[in-house]
Amino acid sequence: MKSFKLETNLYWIIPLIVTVIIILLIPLFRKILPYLGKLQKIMDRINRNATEVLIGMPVIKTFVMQEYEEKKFDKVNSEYNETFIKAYRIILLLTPMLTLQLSFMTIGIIYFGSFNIESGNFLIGDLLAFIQYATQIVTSFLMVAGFFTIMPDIIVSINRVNEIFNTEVSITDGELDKIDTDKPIIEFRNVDFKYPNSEKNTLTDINFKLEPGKTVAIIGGIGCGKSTILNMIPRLQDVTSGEILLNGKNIKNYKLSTLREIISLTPQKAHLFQGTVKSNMKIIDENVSDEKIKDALKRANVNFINSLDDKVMQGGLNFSGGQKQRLSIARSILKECDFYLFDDCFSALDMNTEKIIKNNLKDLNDASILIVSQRVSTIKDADAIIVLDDGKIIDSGTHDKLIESCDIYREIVNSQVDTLRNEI
Amino acid sequence: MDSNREKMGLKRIMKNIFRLMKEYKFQFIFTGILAIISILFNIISPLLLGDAINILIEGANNIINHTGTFDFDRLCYILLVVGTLYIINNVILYIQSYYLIKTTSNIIYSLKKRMMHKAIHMPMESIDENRRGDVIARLTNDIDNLQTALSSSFLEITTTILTPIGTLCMMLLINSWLTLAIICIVLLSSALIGVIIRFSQKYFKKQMFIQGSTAGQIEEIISSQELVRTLNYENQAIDEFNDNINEWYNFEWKSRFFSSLNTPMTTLNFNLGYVAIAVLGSISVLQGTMTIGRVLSFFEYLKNFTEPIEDLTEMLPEIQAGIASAERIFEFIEMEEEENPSTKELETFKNEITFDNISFGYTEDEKILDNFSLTVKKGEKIAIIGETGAGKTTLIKLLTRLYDVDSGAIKIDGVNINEYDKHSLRSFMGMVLQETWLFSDTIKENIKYGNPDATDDEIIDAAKKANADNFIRQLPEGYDTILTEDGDNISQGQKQLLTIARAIISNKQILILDEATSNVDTRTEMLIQEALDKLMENKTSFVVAHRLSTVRNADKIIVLGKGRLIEEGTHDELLSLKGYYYNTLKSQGQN
Repeated sequence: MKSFKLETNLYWIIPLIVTVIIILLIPLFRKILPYLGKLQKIMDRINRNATEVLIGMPVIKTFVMQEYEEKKFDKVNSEYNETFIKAYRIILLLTPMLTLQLSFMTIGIIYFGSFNIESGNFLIGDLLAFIQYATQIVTSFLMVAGFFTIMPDIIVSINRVNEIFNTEVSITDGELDKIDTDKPIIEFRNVDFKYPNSEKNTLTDINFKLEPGKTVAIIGGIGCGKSTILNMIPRLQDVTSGEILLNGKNIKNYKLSTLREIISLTPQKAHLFQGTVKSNMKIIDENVSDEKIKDALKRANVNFINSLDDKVMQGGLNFSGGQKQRLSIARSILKECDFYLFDDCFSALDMNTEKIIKNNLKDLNDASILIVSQRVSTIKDADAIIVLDDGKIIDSGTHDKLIESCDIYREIVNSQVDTLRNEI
Repeated sequence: MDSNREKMGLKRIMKNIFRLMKEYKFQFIFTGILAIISILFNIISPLLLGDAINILIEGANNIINHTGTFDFDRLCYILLVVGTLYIINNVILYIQSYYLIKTTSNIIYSLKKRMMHKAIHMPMESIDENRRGDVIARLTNDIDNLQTALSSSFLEITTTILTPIGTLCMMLLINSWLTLAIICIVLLSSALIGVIIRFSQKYFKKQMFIQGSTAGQIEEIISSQELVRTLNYENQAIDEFNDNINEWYNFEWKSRFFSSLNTPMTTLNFNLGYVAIAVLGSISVLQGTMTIGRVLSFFEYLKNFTEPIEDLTEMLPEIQAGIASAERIFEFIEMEEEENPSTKELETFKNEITFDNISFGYTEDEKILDNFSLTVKKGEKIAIIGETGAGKTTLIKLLTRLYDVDSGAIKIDGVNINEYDKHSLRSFMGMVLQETWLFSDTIKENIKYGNPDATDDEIIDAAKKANADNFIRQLPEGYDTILTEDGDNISQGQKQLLTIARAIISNKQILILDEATSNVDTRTEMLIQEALDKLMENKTSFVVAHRLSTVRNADKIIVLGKGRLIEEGTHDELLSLKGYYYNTLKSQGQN
């Protein structure tokens, strides 16, 4: 009897088949990969096209361009179809070509094995076992090859995940966890701000003070750095140079939670969370009473809800822009703190509503208010108005003073109020 | 799209899918025939390989008994035949899958086309802001799912059904006892797999649900980051997220665990079958009722028999997703289109537009416009003012028939606009909206949108009138600058100038303008104002106004409040009324 160790010279078949497979795979993949990239790009275009059409529906309908849009979509759509079919003409070659190699290998082993059997150093059982083993080896190799084909995707994904992990947290906690007065003051001293990749300062040499019971307003065009000033106070962004002082101490020395405790920021875009009106208000404080919530809602002129349990859909979709702003303002003033920062959050309100809310804000006890706006009516009665242009303070003072001394301010006022003031 | 709508039911979905496939009947029949041929080959080749082995065995016996050697020529002949069969089989396989992909890709192409047609011709209310994401998802994700399911499952289902049947016939011909053993084993394995699938499906569904709500939470938290941070809400948000993730993890590993049991189960069954064939086969060989080569063929048949079932279970999620997606796609395609029953063309606009007691609400219980009446003479500029939600924008949408009035009538020269073909009505109207809609193409193409036949000179002329020529020329590519997806390369104000240029080139008699409230700096605002004035020259225009200068220059100001006309008249007339208008101006202008 022969031993079960396969004493044969058939082993060369396996590396031969593996080599053939590699030689076949490489040019195929060279051809396939560019197609896949191209398909992805066309897919992006289809998405973009569809989004555009959906957003622009009123325009398309009034310009009666339905057919034009259909044709335009048809162009990308058929381009995708053609590319897809072309790509798969090659991709589909893979499976038959590889299975064919396996079949050839089996035939080869039987053929060449027959010589071994003839010479008597190979039993039929050995031959069958050899076929099994060889098939297993080559199949495993194919699986490894398959793994390598998804490697590029994996590497891209790993890099993207790592990008998040490797991002340094640039804003770190300070030590102080107490503010040693009930009437804190915030002061900007020679503050500059520059975005990491930008060549130009967004803000240059900003100096002003927020004091208890006073309202400060900032007015200026789009992109002049108004919101950045606001965001720097709760340290959502840190100054590039200069310092912001809270009671004479740099705000970086305070614990973030301590600092943010005394600040209520109302962002430009009103964010509401899925839930109820009440749950949105309770984000401020889990234990706040219904009375207090109702009071805040009243002050923000929220007169459109039936009860505190009214549903809020994701993103507040069931409210209009103005209604969202009012709810968001209500939430901000519900927080009892020393500094209220309003970032252009009256923009979707009509003049009358704005007036009502602003009147109600006056009794935010002794807090300090900072309002950012592009609208003169919003900021006119502030204790101090800062006129910002291109990241620099060009003038500041009361409305009356600025109208005399500041050309840009006068220009803004005139464009908005027109000459009507004199006529009334 | 409508959540109240009854689900379609599997039967109707399948009917719809078959209707789609029917258009490509011949392609599907062709691939079906090819599939049958390739399956036949798959059934024959193990038999031939078995023969080859038989020759070897005979030969080996001959050598041992010194009665000669094996039939080498016959062996080569069989191997040659088998090799040829394999080659033909794989060529057929290739042609078959290529045709299938081509056919399904064409089906998908025409489905997308139909969906886009539907999207473009849907009434406005079906496609408002909240539903955009949903429509896009149907057009991309669902289409993808259906494509995968169609192309892979058609092949898979034909082979899964036909291969075992063919194999079964062959096996019965060779040896009925062995066949019976294999059938028992396959039935057992199918039952086991069924149980496992039920378990993993249960957890899979839960996992999908959690996945959805986690995605919602992430989006909420990220988009309102400033708030989360300044409210010191970070820890609570993280806790909430961790809870979700933990639950997700729990369901995911359970569903994965159960579905991964599939592989060892099928391997176990396969091996049981292998042993059964080996034992029963050896007995048959000893009894002389079967040759060794036939036993070997049986091993191959076992594989043919169990593999399709395994493949099918692996594909089940794909098929399920495909069916769910098909439902959403057909639901969309079956939605109603914007009605446009009339073919009567609006040919001229001579005298006046009248709003006769119109009422309208987006929902039944909320009236946005309530018994509103107004007459506008040709050539007049109408400024519409009022609080948010007073119905200003709605009025404009009714005039263009993006929506239709609930009661009352809007008339042009005394004829109800509902009697006209919508397209001809709209071809009289130009629009500049607050939301500046431009598409990602060159500036030139965007302006040309107002009038596809415009020449380059006309385009430049319109841009000049719209105060846009200057900034366009300063761009590196000038009029050929491609606006990026989010339009980052030009400012909000510049975008407005472009939409004005587009309206100027369209040269419509009736203009609808919705002034932007903010987001534009003072200087650009003046440019826009000037451009709008030029645009409105000699036109009948409706302006939803926010700037007082616009209001002042209007021939007629109408003040809307809660859907009703509160005040109407010129600037001076309204001031002397000392009503809403007077008070608004006062509050804005007071010192």
